[in-house]
Amino acid sequence: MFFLNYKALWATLTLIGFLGVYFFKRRSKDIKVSSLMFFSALKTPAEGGQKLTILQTPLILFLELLIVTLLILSAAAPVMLDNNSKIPLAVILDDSYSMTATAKEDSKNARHRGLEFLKNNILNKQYYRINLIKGGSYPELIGRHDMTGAEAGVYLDNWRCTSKSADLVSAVRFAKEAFDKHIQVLVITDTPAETDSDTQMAKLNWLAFGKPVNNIAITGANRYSLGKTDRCFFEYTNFSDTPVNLHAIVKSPESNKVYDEIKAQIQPMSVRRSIVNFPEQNSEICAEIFADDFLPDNKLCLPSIKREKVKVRIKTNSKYLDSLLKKTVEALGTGVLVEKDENILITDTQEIIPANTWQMVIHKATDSIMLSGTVAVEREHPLCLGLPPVRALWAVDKNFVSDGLPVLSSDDFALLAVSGEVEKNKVVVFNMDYEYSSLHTTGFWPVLFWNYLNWYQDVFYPVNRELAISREESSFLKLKSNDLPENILPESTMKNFISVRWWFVVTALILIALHQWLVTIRRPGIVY
Amino acid sequence: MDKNTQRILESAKAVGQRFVFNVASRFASMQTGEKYGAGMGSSLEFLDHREYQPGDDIRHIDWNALARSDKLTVKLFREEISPHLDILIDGSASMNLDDTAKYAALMSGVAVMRAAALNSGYNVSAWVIKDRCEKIPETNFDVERWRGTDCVYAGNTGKTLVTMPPPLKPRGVRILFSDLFWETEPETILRQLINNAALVIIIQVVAKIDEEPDLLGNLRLVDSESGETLEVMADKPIIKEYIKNFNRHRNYWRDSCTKSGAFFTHLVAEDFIKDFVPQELLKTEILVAGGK
Repeated sequence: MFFLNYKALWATLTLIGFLGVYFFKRRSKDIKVSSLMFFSALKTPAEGGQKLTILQTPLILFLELLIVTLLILSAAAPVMLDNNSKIPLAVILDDSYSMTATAKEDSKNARHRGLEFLKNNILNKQYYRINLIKGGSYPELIGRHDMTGAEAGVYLDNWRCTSKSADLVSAVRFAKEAFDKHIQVLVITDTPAETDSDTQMAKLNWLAFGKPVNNIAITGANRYSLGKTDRCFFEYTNFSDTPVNLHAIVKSPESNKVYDEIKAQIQPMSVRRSIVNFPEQNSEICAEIFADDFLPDNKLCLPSIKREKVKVRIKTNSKYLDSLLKKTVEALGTGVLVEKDENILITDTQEIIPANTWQMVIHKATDSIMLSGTVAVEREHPLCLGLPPVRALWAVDKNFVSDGLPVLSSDDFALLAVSGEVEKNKVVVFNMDYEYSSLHTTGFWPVLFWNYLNWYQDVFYPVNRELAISREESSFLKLKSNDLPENILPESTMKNFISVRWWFVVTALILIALHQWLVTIRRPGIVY
Repeated sequence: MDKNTQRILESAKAVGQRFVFNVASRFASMQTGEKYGAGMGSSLEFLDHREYQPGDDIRHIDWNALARSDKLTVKLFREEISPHLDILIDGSASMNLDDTAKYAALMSGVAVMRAAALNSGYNVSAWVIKDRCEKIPETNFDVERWRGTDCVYAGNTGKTLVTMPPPLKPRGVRILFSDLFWETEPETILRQLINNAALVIIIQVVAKIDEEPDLLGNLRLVDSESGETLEVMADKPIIKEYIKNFNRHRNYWRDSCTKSGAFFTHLVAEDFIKDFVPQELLKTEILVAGGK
């Protein structure tokens, strides 16, 4: 059982008043009377009758409190709903940075206000089955399906608003497709919905909690080589409705040398660009804006464009494989063969390796079979980018088992499995019997190893860093709030509730009758 | 006695002087005495003639007048009475209840009765009932000069009346002023008072708050005599019950008086001190106008 009209429960404060009146009344006032004989010195009548009884004031108070409580509860619209008929609700949380934009005069941002709304209107209601969807660049489910308010409250901590952009329309579509088609969708964002068929559908509440905020942001950056000179390009945009004095510096954090300092006024919605040339160097170069409240887009660092070569150690029990792998690494140009302190170890037996070292294991087959048929490729995986379709013999161990993610597979065989953490010990297991395979004679072989070394470089020696926030996200002037609905439940849903108001009203009436009986019947007796 | 009460008593005395007691003509036991009454009687003091009416004493027919005028005429003589008034004052603390006019009304009633009695040629004795009945020696003086009438006794004066009654004069008129808030049976007290009396008058003096208490809320009632307390959540039903009990008590006294041949009346203090006129005594002609 729960209540639809929680506001009525504020009336329980009147109980304090009742208690106050009771205790005030309990403080007796002295009155001198001629005689108490007509109050207390009472005699039991000869013909029988009631004896003196004391008025049960605590009992009466208890009854009064109970009656008032029952009436308040009945006013709070109590309803019954079993677990199966709870209302499915998908809450789409805008995960873009703009949700954290805070105006100077307001300590709360759209995320705070959205959370407050959820806590006051959704999480405390027992009649929802809540599904949380993080609406970032792509929709992502947070927690499990059909959570209670308390469970969802715990998972809301994962909503940090760190996505470059938020595709909320996709998130709404995802909610409709992934869950019950009658699901109620609630979008918590910072901008009112544009006229779009996806946001005008029934059972969709688009709640915007944004407020316009002035912002100045680094909206573009690039670094490239001019031979012995490096050149950096930075773009600063004023997303305000007033001119802003920009103060920015470009410096090397390593040497602390300042290459450029900009002090200039930028007109509203205008851009200021700067180009900095400096001698070629391996350290990163950072641009930073001062005196702007929204921090995530105030600083951007561009790493060195020179990439370190990946140190590769090859350790196999087969001279043939050893030779083949060395030739491959040398031919790629992005790796260098070393005997120790390697970044990547390529071996035919899995070994325990130091932290931050990757390992490729060429699995030694014990019972190999020749593969026929198509190979399923995880196209988005860094190892599989641009792998060409080839005609080759691929002998695999039919008993090969791996707990990693198979990025190449055929029938029930995992051909290439990846496990471990990217920034620690990534392990790639290559299910290939090199004695019977002809993969190394095809374009597949160098592309695979190129991808492998390149993946390592991308992780540990990135060249260009993307903007933390997209240009569109940095503009907070469009942020607005819309009118919040009193009740997000449609009328049709309310019909599912069984009102139990009369339980309370009838009980209260019975108690009122009992109360009246107590205050009128239980009286002192009579004289003579 | 404060000055205000003294002023009230002076006014009461002035009102009382307008009345006389009309007691002897109604009660045979008083019709032989030492003084002439205000009414007709059987003394030797001639008063007037009037036509004979059936029932007149034929010994008083004036035969000479019959011979002269051929009309039956009777001689009227002044009544001869032995008038004495005993005033019994309840000296309990409840008669001097704070914030009420009860004491003023009590002493005003005494003053009115004394004045009317003196007006009628009565001797007046007064007694204050406390742990015993104390005679007030200054009854020749005005009431405000009486001593020992302060009403502070914290015991049961009804019980005193029964156990230690005052030596009241035979064939006299006896007036008891009290609120009668006793549990003593009325008949026991009345038996003492009515014994050898020409007339017993019970005047119940109560304050308005005694008759219709205007009480509401959680109260601690303090008995003015015993100091005993009672916690009461006063509301309309409680007060209704109180009034019912009070009236039952009063009616019980009234019935007992009727049975015993005594006369019962009551005064509401706050009303009485407005005009000092004992309405019921006038209605029943125990008091009649005709004083100074």
